[in-house]
Amino acid sequence: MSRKKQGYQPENDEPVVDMSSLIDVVFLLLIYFIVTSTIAEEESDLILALPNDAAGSPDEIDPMFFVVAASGQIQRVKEDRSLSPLDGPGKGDFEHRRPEELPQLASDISEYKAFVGDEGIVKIKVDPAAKAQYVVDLLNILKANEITQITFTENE
Amino acid sequence: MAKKRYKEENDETVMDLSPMIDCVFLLLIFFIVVSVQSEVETDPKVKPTIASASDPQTDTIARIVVNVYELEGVITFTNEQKEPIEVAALNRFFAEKVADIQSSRIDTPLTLHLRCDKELAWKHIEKVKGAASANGIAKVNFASYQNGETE
Repeated sequence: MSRKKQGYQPENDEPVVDMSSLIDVVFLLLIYFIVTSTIAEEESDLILALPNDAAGSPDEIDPMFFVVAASGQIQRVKEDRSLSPLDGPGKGDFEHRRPEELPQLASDISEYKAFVGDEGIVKIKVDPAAKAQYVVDLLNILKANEITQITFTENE
Repeated sequence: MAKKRYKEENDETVMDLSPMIDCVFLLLIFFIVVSVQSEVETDPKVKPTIASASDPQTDTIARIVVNVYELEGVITFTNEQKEPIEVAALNRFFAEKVADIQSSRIDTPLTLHLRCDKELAWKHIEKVKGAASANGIAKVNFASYQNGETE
């Protein structure tokens, strides 16, 4: 009987794991992740194949020709080389313009796409002072219409 | 009385740390799971363009990343180091990068991953694009946000 009592005693003196060092490590990891991680929007791709202008384009397909002015105004070059302004100029704060904000441009491009199919080629002349966002607004509509054969040119 | 006091001292209150560890572990797991390491070298000073039709980034093989923005009045391109945007520096940079990628025998066509500031004048982009093209890079990717609302 007395032996049983002696055997019971060690159960009361159970070894206790000291959690504090574990918490130290976990907290350090947590703080590291909180400090090093930045919340940023994921970037996406607007990949364009850029055919060399000097190489020229196949003559069977008439390329669509646009001019992007310094103000962000996009103009279409007609067959008689006259410029036809489409929609308004770019936004003053260089904010993007959605396709629905450029209805004339979007409709011209989708008409061209319907006419030429997958072989559409677009030539773009950009004013050196035009902002990147103004050009990307045009590229965005071309991409939406699956036109990725784009040539940047300096000549009209 | 003295005996009672002694007993109280022995029965010190012990804080149960296990729920706290649970919480801390949950937070830790959350941060590990939600954090995505950027695959391309991004410079936080660049405010990229916005294009709703852009595609989510998939692979970044054979991409040459160039960040272009204005730094203290000077248009600068960055990758490992910041350099003013000059044709000679750009050509040197692209030649090194192209040689690096070609030595690792990657068959994927080279792509210029251009992270340019949305307010950057086109003439600077033309300079970068021209140098890339001269070094045999035929594809250009304008790194963009799909949605500008969360900026």
